[in-house]
Amino acid sequence: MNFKELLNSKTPPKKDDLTDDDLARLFIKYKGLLKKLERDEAFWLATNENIKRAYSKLDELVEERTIELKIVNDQLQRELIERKKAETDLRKIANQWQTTFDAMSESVFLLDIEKKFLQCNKATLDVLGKEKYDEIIGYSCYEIIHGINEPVEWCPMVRMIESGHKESSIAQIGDRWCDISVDPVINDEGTLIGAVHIITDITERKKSEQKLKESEEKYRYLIENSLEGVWVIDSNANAILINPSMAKMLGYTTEEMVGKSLFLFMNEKEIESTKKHLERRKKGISEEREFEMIHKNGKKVYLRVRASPIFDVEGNYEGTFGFLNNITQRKLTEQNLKESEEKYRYLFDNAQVGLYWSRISDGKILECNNTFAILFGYDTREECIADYNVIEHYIDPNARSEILKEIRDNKEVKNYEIHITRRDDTPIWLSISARMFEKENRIEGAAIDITERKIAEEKLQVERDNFLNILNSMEDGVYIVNKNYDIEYANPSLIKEFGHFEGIKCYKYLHDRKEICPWCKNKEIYQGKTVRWEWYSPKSQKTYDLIDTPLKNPDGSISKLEIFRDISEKKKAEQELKESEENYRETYNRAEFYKDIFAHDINNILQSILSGTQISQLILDNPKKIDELKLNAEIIKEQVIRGAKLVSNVRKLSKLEEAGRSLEKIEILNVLKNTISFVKKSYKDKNLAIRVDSFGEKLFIKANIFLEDVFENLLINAIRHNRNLIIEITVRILRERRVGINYLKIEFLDNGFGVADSMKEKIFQRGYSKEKGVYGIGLGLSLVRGIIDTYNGKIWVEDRVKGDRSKGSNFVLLIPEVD
Amino acid sequence: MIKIEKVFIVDDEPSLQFFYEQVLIIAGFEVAGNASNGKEAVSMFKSFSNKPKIILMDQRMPEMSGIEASKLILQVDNRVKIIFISADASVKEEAISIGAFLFISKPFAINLLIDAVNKAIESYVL
Repeated sequence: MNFKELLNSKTPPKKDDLTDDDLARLFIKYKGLLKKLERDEAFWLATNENIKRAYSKLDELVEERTIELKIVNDQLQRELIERKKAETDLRKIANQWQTTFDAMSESVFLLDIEKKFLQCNKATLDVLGKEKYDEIIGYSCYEIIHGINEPVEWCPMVRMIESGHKESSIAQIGDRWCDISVDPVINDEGTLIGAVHIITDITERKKSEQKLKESEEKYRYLIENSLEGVWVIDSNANAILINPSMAKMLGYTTEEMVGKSLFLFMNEKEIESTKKHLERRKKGISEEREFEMIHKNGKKVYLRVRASPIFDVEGNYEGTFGFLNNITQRKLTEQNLKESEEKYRYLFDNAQVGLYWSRISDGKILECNNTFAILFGYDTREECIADYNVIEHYIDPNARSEILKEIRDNKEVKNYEIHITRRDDTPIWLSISARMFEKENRIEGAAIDITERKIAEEKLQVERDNFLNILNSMEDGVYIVNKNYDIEYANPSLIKEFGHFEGIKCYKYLHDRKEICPWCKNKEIYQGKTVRWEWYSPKSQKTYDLIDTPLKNPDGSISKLEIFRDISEKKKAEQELKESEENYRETYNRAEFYKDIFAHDINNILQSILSGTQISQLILDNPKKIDELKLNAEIIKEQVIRGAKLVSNVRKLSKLEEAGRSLEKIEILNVLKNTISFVKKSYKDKNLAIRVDSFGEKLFIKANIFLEDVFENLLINAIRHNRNLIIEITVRILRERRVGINYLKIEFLDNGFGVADSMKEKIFQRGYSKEKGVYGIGLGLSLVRGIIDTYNGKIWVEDRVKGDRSKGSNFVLLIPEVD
Repeated sequence: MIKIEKVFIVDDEPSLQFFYEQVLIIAGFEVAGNASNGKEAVSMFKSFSNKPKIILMDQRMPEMSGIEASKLILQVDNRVKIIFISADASVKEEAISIGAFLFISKPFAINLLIDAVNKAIESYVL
């Protein structure tokens, strides 16, 4: 709703329809209308005076003419010509009067006492819608004006006739509003003979008054309901109008404030300032300002006022009209902001980093701190701002457009390195972090001098290049990998071994893995450690001695340098050496063992032979002892055979591994039969019950001549470790299939005193010094296991009756069967 | 009446058990028994109601060595005289240290054994 619509609206406007400007304009309009009315009234008063003066003049003229006429009449007879001349003059004057009369905008007409038109001016014709005077002259005014047969009740003529004084009325005639005044016309005798009517059309004034009234109502409504504070003071600064919003701003009611001095709500400082401002109002100056007032609770309230002076018609200062807004929150925010800005300003000025604002368009430094100024060779920031222009100092002319593009593309740059010159054209390397404010044509940034670092980096780069040249010529493989497992470099030796590395992660390149190797050493390397380790590569089928060490890059990051030294040949030699050592150790231990066993057994044999011989000598001449002599001789003979066997076993053992390489197909039942026969002969004094229980008659294995020793040892053990009168031994032969292989399972079951659980494995070991006193039972079982091993078989012992050792043992052989 | 002293033979070698027994009988002693390993020896010694004064003890035997058996037997009767017989001279010192009366290295002449047994009898304290 615009202002015009607002004034014409029949309903009060809403708050949101009004602006400050509306109110101000309304107020000015209102004042203007009042002034116009006042001017109109003054004008009409002046007009009336003119009419009066005209009538007075008329009267004077009439009187003069009458005198003249009297003179003329007196002289009529004397001077006819003069009279005619006088008549002509009179008519002329009358015409002049009529002309003047018609020139008036108001309707003026002369009525006789009967209220009939005697004369009227042109404006009267217009007002009454007549064209000719004849249509009016001689007719009564109520007939012509009101169209009725008698005067209207409020007729001022009627009232004038009664009062004898001027009367007036305001009446609506048709759609027009008229101000009607009636002045009495009195003849020389003092008799009322008629009246001069003046009708002024005040329709427009009435409309203005109506509009003004409506406008006043709207204006009051707006003020009362405005969120903006309204404070109107008189010329003494006392409040004559306070709206509720204003009162609320200071914590009062409107009643508490109206009539009170403006200064009651201010501190001393503000009173002085306000008084000066009010002086400016008196000079007609309207203005806005911010000031402080005191809230009812004693706290400061910050206000912004748009104040305008009020003057009366004569231009006298009547007071001030103010629109006020509470800006306390804004002020506090501004204060905080100011404090914050001061802090940041401090940081800006004292930062050890060069801070600056530059203009995008021309590279001019708009603002900078002293650190920045010093970087460029200035003593003060003011000098730098006044003198330095970035564009003129880029060593690479394209560098600035590149950094601007970078900022535009990414909204900012961080640690962007530029090479630029100082005030005195000495070069300087800077690390720039900057943001762009395109609309403000401004770049805001921070600069750090990295010249020393760059020089160091350049040196480092040279050293690194030299270093790479060395690496390239190395026979050892070398590669460099970063923290992201990306290979940065591999020397020709490594590429020859593992291929090209570009775009391949190290774990894929070297280990053919899709993810990081669990054994990865990177963590230790990036902690600064050097790690040496060995690695076998299935890809190259080589073993490498690896040295991993951290490598500092020119940009300060750390990579890993790994050197691959092929030690496959060395490892092979070491392994062979180790195996050789083990073989020699084994051989030595075996030799020691054999020596020990041999020494023990041979001494027993020799002891038996010596004792038997000496006893035989003692009883040689005693015929009663002839049987003992024979028995001694048998035993001595057996011991000699045993000694020979012992020597043979030692030889066999020493050749066992060699023998394992020359196996042949052997039928075992035949070998077993021969062995049983030999054992029975050897133990004639024992009551032996040996039987064979086999599932087949011809059973073959891959074996050699030592198979007989196996059977013999197992049978002799069963005999020797048995205290029963009848030594029972059963050799049971079964077939057993394991992991797709057919085995012959040969069990030697005896009724001897069994083997303790703790000894079931030890008895097959080649006992050495520590255990030699425990089971010095010859070379038997260790020889047996050694032989069975060469047959790719197994041997173990278990209880004949499971869990009851006392029932004897079961020595089990498992040897692959052949067809 | 002359008392015939008993000797307990411990050796896993049957031929030696046979010959030791012949020698001792010739020399006028009685054989209390033959054991083929240390464990058997301990068990038999404990079972003797009339404990023998002398033991001929081999060192290297199945199940339990002569040293181990000797320790256990001396715990039963610390007066018994144990004559250690072994081809391994390295155990002599240990045998003497645990309380053996004498150590004889194999092979030896039978008179040496008889002398050793006589000495042992003489030194036996009732």
